[in-house]
Amino acid sequence: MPKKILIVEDSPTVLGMLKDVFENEGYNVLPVETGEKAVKKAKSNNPDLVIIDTVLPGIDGFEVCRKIKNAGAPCAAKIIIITGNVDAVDAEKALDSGADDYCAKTSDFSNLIAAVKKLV
Amino acid sequence: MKRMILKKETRADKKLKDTKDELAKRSWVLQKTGEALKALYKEIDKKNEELKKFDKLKSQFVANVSHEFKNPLFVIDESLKIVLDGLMGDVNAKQEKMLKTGKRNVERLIRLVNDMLDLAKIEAGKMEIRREHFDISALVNEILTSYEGEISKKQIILNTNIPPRANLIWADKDKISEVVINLLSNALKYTPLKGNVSVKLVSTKQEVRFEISDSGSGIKKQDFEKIFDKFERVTTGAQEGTGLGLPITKDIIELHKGKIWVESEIKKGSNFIFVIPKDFRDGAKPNTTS
Repeated sequence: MPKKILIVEDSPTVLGMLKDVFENEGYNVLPVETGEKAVKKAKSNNPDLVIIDTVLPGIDGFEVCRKIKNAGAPCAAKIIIITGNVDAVDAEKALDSGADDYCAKTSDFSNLIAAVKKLV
Repeated sequence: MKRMILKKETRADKKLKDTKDELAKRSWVLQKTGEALKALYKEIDKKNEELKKFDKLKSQFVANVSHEFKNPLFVIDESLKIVLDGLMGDVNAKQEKMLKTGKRNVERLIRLVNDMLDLAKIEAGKMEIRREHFDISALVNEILTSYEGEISKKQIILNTNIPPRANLIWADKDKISEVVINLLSNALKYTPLKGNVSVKLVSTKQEVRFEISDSGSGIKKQDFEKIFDKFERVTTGAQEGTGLGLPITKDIIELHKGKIWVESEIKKGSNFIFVIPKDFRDGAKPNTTS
């Protein structure tokens, strides 16, 4: 049974790329474009891992992370926060909101793949 | 008593645990930020490499196209010259006027193509600087003489301060001549009718300093650097040419290990200054030409 990854990213291009990359790695990918949809989907689909972009329309990535983590069982997903705007304040916010990892969003996905494989 | 000690220990334990947690958190944040920044820098490096590659391709393309233009333009120029010189039979006044207009424009195109080729050479690091011994005072005077027609046509008052004695330097004569022509033609272009242009040459033991000032419209302070940048085009009103004259000039001066800059005030005019060493080869003995 392939592991399920929920990906939250507002840019359809990046979302499409991430979907292809992780499907290629053998994961079952659930792509969504907003934080609200992500929270709902996390509750109904029990993903093993969630990748969340920091900047999203509506509720931001940190809030989405907090909401998914607070939902508790049955959703016990690991969470990776990704960003194109790296700084220590954001990394701390990621940790405080319950994220398991914090990664830069680059066109080379090897870092992110490695981080995902470490968690699930 | 025992209970109090236990309480204190529990409090100390808790404090220790909190500090440990805080340290672990700081360490996680630092580690993750570091890793993420490293990934971003790697991405920037990759993008830079790609851009450099594209820039090189573009330069190569411009160089190839310019080169292809050059020969036919020379042929047109030469043909017009032969007809104008009367070698193909008499030319009447009307024909002469037309032919001269054609020749003037072909000459302009040749200048543009040469500018583009120069820049491509500089970008590819292929611009070679020859080292010749020549009199820079004589060179500047010679150039000024060739512009007499244009100067009197615009009724420009020309002030010169050029040392009359021989002022020998080791540099690339053609390139320095190109620089002086560029600066002079710019000064004449931007100076209004009956304006002033001053040319000054100062020579010290180690270097020569060339200054040319005009009474044109001046340049904004924020544009002082931009006008020497090939990727910027500063709006000046009188637009003719590739806008590459000053970038090329700067490159030539820098290849001579010199400096060029502008001082200017809006509505008062501009003063372009370059300083080059009398011999651009550090420690070289001025006794050979290469």
